[in-house]
Amino acid sequence: MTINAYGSKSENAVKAAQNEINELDKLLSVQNKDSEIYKLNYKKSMTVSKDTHSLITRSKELYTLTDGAFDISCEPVSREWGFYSGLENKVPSKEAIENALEGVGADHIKTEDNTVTLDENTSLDLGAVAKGYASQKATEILKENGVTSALMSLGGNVRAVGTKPDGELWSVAVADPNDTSKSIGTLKISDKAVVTSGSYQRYFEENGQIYHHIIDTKTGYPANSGLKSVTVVSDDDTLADALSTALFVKGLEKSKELYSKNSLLFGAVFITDDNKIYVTDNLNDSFISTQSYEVIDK
Amino acid sequence: MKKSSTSTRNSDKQNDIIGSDLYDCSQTVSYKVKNRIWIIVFSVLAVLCLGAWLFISNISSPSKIVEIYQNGSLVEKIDLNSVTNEREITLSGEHGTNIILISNGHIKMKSADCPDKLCVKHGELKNSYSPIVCLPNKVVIKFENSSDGVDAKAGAVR
Repeated sequence: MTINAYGSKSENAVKAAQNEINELDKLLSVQNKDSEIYKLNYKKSMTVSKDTHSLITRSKELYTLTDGAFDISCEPVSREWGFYSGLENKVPSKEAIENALEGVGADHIKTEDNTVTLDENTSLDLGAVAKGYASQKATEILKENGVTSALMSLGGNVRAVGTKPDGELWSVAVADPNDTSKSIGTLKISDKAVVTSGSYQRYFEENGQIYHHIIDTKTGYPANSGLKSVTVVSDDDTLADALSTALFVKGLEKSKELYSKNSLLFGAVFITDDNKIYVTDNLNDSFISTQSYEVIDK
Repeated sequence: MKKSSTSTRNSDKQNDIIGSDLYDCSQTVSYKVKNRIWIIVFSVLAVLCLGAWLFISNISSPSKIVEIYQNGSLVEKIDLNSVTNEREITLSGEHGTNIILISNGHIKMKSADCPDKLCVKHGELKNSYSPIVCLPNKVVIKFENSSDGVDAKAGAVR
């Protein structure tokens, strides 16, 4: 995690923001045995903190918005694939995947006043949205503390607060999925979250086949939608985080449909398996690249 | 009179100690060795610092194309090598005006109405690592290729 903030009050603001991120990580991590999510997955019903409650509620809304492409109940499937620390990556049997899929879907998650209840076979993993939520909360804290210019980087998620101190836009590069030390272009932004989901971020190889970590919960297999990466730009960090996963799962054509209905909420840059770049038209002015790209109209 | 006698006594004492005591003598030798080590350490550090300073101050942009920005938008783009006559550019901002002086191969902030005048104190633009910035008036002077500078990268987790 890096936070660069500018201004006289920035030092305390950054400390407060870092604290908030660490607290949320403790609360929302699926791997930390003391986290609320870990306990909830074990107990299946419990009273949770405001943050956990509001993020689970929001995740259910995002599940609906993305027709289930974003799904926090993917934990049992990801577990079968060994995408948690201490587990070994393996291709699960068809039967194991079918069993794991039984508890998958937002309808297996019930939220009441302060309580969350999961069905027996359901477990949650907020990994695809927790970083976004954390950077959103951290951004609020920075702004409350008078910071008007800051740039945050949270494990590949980037968040710009305001512009650079000199009034210029921030330059956020989009990693080249084929070589992350390079980039395929730069986004000129202010006050936006930029989140990328890519198959290159976590994967394993078995019998010459690559299996990445972004699971399509409709099949139980790593999403095979023809995309190498999706970068989402939005005012809303949580939305950007969830959508980067959802659009990756959906693929280019279905993502275009979602975009035409929600072009006010987000913009996106897609890189396909054949290395073509597609950019939504609301980002046309912010995206700079030496490579050619196609613009997606609303 | 009193004063001088005291000092004489003191120096006598010192001579006695150094002259008579072998133990003290050996300590002096070890001090000398230690001093020599420190001198070497500091010389090496000094040379390294000088080297680093020379290195950084000599990194100049391969092209001498300079961009002047105000409020984030490009005001002027100049190839310093093609400047024949010295000239000034005046920019007005919230805190008065900034006067930029351009001559062949050189650019600097000549004067500014801003409170801290850091931009004037910066002197000439030398390399792409330290642009001339006037925060109050939101003026930035920098070499062209440093505008490709990326602030962060999305997606690269590790």
